[in-house]
Amino acid sequence: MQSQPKWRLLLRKIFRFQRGYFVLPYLFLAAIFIIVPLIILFVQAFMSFEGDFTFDNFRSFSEVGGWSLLWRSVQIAGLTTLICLLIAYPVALILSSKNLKVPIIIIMFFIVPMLINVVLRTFALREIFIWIERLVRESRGEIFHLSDNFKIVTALILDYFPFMLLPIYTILRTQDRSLSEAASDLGASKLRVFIKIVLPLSLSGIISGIMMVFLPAISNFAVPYVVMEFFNADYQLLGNLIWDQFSSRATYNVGAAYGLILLLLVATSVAIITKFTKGKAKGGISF
Amino acid sequence: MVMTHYVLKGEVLKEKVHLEKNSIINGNGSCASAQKFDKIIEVRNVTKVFDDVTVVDNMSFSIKRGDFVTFLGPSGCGKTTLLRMIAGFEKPSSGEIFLEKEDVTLIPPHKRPINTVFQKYALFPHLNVYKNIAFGLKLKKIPYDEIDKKTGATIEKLRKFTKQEIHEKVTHALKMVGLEGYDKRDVSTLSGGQQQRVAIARAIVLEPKVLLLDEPLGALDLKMRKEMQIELMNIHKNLGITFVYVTHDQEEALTMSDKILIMNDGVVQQAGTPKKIYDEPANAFVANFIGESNILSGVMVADFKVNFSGQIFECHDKGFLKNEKVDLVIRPEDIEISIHNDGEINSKKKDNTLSHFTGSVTSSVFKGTYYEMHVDVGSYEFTVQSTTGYVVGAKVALSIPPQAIHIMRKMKTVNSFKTTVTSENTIEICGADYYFVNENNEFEKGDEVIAEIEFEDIELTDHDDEAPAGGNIGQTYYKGSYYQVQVYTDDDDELYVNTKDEWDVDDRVGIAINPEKIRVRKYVEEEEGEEEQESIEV
Repeated sequence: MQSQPKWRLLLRKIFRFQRGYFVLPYLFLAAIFIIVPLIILFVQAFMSFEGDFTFDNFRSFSEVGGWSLLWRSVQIAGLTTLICLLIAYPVALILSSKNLKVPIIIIMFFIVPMLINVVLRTFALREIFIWIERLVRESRGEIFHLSDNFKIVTALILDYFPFMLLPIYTILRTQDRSLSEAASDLGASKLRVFIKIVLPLSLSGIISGIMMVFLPAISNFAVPYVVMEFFNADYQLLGNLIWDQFSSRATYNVGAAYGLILLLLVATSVAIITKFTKGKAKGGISF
Repeated sequence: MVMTHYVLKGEVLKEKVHLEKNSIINGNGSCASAQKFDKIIEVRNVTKVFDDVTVVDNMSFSIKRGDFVTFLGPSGCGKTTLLRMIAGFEKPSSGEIFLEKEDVTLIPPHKRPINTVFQKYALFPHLNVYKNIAFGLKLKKIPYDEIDKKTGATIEKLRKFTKQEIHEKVTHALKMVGLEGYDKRDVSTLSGGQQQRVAIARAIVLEPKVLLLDEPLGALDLKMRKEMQIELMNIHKNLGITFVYVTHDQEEALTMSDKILIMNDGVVQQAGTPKKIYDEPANAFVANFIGESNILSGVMVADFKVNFSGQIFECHDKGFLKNEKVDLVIRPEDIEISIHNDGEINSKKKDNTLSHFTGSVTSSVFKGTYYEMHVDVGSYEFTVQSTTGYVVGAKVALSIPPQAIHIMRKMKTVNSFKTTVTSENTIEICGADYYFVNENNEFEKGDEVIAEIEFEDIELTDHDDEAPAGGNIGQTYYKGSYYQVQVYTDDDDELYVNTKDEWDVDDRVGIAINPEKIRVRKYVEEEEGEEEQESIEV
């Protein structure tokens, strides 16, 4: 019998295949595209153009009206999320009802628009807005502009609606129907069954939906850029301000600082939501 | 005695059910006897159809206040649907349901004074044990009298329970199911048995008039199930309310119930006390479903005399036609077994008992308190239970006393279809065209006819493409020398076949019929009028 050298056994022990190795590709990607850029962002934010340590980048945020833009972005994103939720929940509720024979076709109806490129979709929407404005102008004979907020919120809703619908639909679809029956058996009317059972048990779906709509919406810059006819200094979102630092102005350090502010803000709000709903959102994906 | 007519699919059949009024085991001795015997639930001609499949078929019965009633039947027999209609989760396609003489057919579940214990508990995962049990109490409104200050008159008003009252009731309910101190626990941390207790507490805390239990012990292990059976019986006794219990477990039903309603194919097969059903099954289905049994075919030669396996036996049944074909059931524990010595009669035997059969033991299994043996007597293989065991191969004598034989009317004696002639020599049976002999062109295309085929004239084939129509095997009854199998055809009809082959439930088969064996006669109106069904009192 041929015995294997000791060092080979040792090597084999160290490099024995483990299930955890499957996570390596992701860790690799995460390191390159998340952790390293974050470090660069952090360092850049505290660096002047010349490369010295400074807080000036942050100071300029209030000078260019960053706080009001941030507040505006929160409002726009919040309104978008709220409207998405108000539309999506009833739709999801109807789709998840067992009486509906072909929910998948209707679901597709909501998903198919996503197959069209987002830029194309937004451009098309801009053309529709222009067309509406012209139509009204011609019929009324006076200059008519749709409100910029209206345009941005409409475009954002159309972009992000499926992200609100799908998690809520999934959670409602998998909800145990006998729970509703039990509640109604114990004396709860249809409305009470909804308030006491269906709604609380779909909370995790709602939270998923809110995060998946609110987070991309608050940092969006492409939608306002396109529907606002490319540039309108008065009506930018925070995303546009950051985008400007990297595109036209090339003031990377300033952009990095603004980006860091947005990041900290969003991270804090996610942490708050998570803490607030911990233990309440049961029966589904939770954060 | 109550005479009842059952409607079996395609055929009207009169079935005697012996129901003795007022001879019922008392569920709760303390309950006022004036209220004791009135009907709390009455189901009248209820039919439920799901997607063209009749799940519950024109069912009528009533349930007495305070009884523990079990709906028993194989899965898919409609028992759960029936329970859900009583609870209000499903609406009957036709018929009415009465609760204390009030029509509740269209009343939604939350307005019925009925509560349900669900099969998979259905506890609210976002609420703890206390809040689960208090759920219904917080919603409930109770009447109270208030004296109007101005006029002094008493006005009845509705109010909710106070927190203190809710607390007391929940604590009491928890105590009743043996879960004191569990009130703050999260339901997901409880074991299956504990969850089921919470579900029971949640339902009984509202003091419903009827408690419905939908296979509540199905998910528990055997030991826990036995414990819960006893506990449920105690709860029933202490509360004195009516329990309606659904199960497919015949042993559970026999143990717990005051009354059992045996169902199959959406039709009541028999209703009565467990003892009655065990001792006097109404038909072969019931005999087969409840307990071990030997089911044989025989012929009534006269009152109290039945011929089977080539011998004439004495029995205790009468009222059949002369030479009527019957099914008979002999319970394994009622057969007397003794060692057979060639030429001599066992001296222990009384003079008037004969050894009817001799045979050899083919298997012998010790079941704890008795032996279960199979004895092959040539024409039939009997299942025998005895405290005395015999080894495999032993020569034994079997004796069947008259009281051990219970005679049942045949569920069906011939397959009969009302159908139409589809061409010169074909006829539609089970949704397919079968050849038949059309002598002298007696029948024309489109004629409505009755086609009859004897059980033994149908052949089952392994593949459904070898025969015009296909089907799936349902129940199988072993008749000693052959099997009688029930076949559900693809167009939701049902037929019986006598065959030497053994088939398993849900086996896919083809249905082949020899053209010469199909008897066809003209259909005459009124031949098949459904007879008015008299309500069964459970």
